[in-house]
Amino acid sequence: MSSALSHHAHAGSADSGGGSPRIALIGSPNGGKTSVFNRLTGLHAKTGNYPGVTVSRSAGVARIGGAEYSIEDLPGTYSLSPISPDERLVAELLDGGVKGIGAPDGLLVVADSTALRRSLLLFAEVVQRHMPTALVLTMSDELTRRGGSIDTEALGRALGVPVVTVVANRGIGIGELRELITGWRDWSVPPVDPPTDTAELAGWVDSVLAAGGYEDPRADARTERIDRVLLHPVLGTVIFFAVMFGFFQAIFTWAAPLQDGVEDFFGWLAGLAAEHIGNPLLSSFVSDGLLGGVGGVLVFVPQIVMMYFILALLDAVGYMSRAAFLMDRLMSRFGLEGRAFVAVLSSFACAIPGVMATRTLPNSRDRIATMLGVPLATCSARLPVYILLVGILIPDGTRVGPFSGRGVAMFLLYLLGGVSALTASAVVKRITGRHDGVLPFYMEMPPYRIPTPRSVGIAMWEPTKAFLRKAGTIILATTIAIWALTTIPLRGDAELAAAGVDPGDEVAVTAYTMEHSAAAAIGKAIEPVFEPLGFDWRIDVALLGSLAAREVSVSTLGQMASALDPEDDSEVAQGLDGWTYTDGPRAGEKVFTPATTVALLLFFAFALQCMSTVAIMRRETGGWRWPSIAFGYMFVLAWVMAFLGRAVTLLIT
Amino acid sequence: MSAVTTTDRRPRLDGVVPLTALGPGDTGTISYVDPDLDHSVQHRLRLLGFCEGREIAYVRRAFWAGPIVFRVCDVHMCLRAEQAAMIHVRTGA
Repeated sequence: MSSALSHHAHAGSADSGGGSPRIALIGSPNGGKTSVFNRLTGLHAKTGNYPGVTVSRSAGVARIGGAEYSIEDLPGTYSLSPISPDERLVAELLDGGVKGIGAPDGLLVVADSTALRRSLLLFAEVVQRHMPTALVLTMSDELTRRGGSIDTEALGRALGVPVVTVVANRGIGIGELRELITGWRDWSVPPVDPPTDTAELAGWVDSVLAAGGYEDPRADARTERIDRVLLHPVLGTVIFFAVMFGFFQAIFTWAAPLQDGVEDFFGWLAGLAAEHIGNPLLSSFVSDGLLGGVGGVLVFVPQIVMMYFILALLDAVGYMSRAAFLMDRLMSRFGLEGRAFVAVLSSFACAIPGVMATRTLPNSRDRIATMLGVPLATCSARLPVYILLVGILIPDGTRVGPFSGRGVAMFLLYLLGGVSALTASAVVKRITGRHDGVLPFYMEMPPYRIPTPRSVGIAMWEPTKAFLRKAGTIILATTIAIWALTTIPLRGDAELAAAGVDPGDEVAVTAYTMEHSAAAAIGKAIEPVFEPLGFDWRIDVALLGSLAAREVSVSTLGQMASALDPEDDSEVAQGLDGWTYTDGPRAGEKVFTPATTVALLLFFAFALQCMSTVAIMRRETGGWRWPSIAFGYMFVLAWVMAFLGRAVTLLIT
Repeated sequence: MSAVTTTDRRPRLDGVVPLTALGPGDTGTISYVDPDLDHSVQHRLRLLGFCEGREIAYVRRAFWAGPIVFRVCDVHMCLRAEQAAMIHVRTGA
């Protein structure tokens, strides 16, 4: 005991758990482990990364009867014998070999009671580590529904460890589980080890389950019936595309009115602020910097919430693993697996959920490859930029066969986004994979389940919160920084008058202030880099603005083009049409020629102009290495593509 | 590659075939996991439920020669054909 206590003190110094006992949850993916964890910790989990690896960690505190217990939700696994560097982490963690975390005091194996013949194999590996262990059986309602049964006490006697039964989603059995945790010191180490030879393990499991009076559940008839339709070669494919169509419809069409509402509301607030705050600098800061930034974050929220709701629902029902099953073959062509499909799909709304979705991939090579590819998918912040530039490039009324020219161009840009994301992932996977063996692909297909509102709510709220926290702070900070760079110092009326600008003409004042701002100086300084692409310093300032969120570049361009309403596409386009180079060898020539417009479109398609994505990549990979590589390669790719696009356009026009 | 050689070594005569030789609805008893396979991967396949002696059913395959779903240990587990070919079953016939 004393050795165990000193061990806590050691682990506690580096961990938030203090001296409280540390309990680790071990179980397979889809086994109900996360629901048990959520019930125990009451949603106060901290998520982060294990030191030095791209494996996300969630740990929390359970308060039971006045005492605190640190609960660690280990990554879902089918075995403690690692086949990838990520899985080695779990084994090392149990040995106390992970820096700053320390070995757990007790192990709670969470096993799906409808899959005990499989789940007890993992249990056998766990008890061989000779640590205090207990077993939690989940989904017991489903076991009963499918005609199976188990005698929990008899099973406990046969295994030599305490066993409790829970239905975590509905909170049944959680009280008993909490009581069990308080007695972790009495959890036994079974006197006799299960066989170490895996070939004999099945026999051991069978004898233990026979002693526990286990009746196997029937195959789930409901699941069979649904799968016969949803995984049908023809019908299943049609339904899959219908689901995808519904997904995009929801996040783009149904979320749009809400997004407009958010935009209008913040526009109105900014107007109020501008009207009522006397100090011009403060007024500009509140209306353009602060409210602009908060609005810039919140405008994404309806879409993100909608997307996470649909993803959480599809996942809770069991459709996500079916979608991954259907897409695996296609994804394998790009060196990825079916589960990476969710990340790519999410990235069409925003790269941030896409990067976060890579957590479901079991190995880090796939995670990195997917993470480095998905920012190329056409995210919704690119959409306003594309609409503006395509509008400039292609005159209204142009037709390609029966389709509108602008529509075709937009479709091609989306296609480009998808194909380039997958191709980039394939290339990264190939480059990073030189030293590794090939890992087997396997995926469990859970029965279809009717989710509880609570579980869907948790599944959508957690990532939404993460998005708001991470993207929110970055977008807000970047917006304010860019506001400062484009606005400070404010120009006095005398200076404006001397420069021939009417101080009463707000639009002209904004344009003048911007032209003489720090941002303009930066734009002019970096002009040589973008000069071969045909961008002038004002476009460079807009590129700078897009670092907050790509769509910000539209209003930045609008402000510099002296558009009355910098959010209105046609007005901005009109303003941009009149732009000429202000200096250099091309002075006086038109800026937004087709060649420049194509170059700018392609630059936006490929560049990682989004600080929030960079920040989320840093969080998910636990370092600056991968975000730097992503930013670097995408910048080079964007520059080269824009250059080629410009050259080709110059040739054909 | 080794899947092919193993199949050659143990022809269908004795009723032992790789899982990939089954079709939807077929069942069998797992006979052995390819011993040439990396040990850690053999171990993992067994812990996924593909242990010797277990009943297994081929449920369905994704279109376009995608992964295959098997029912083993009361669970639907899907594997790609490369891995399924490493697991050999004794069929009823």
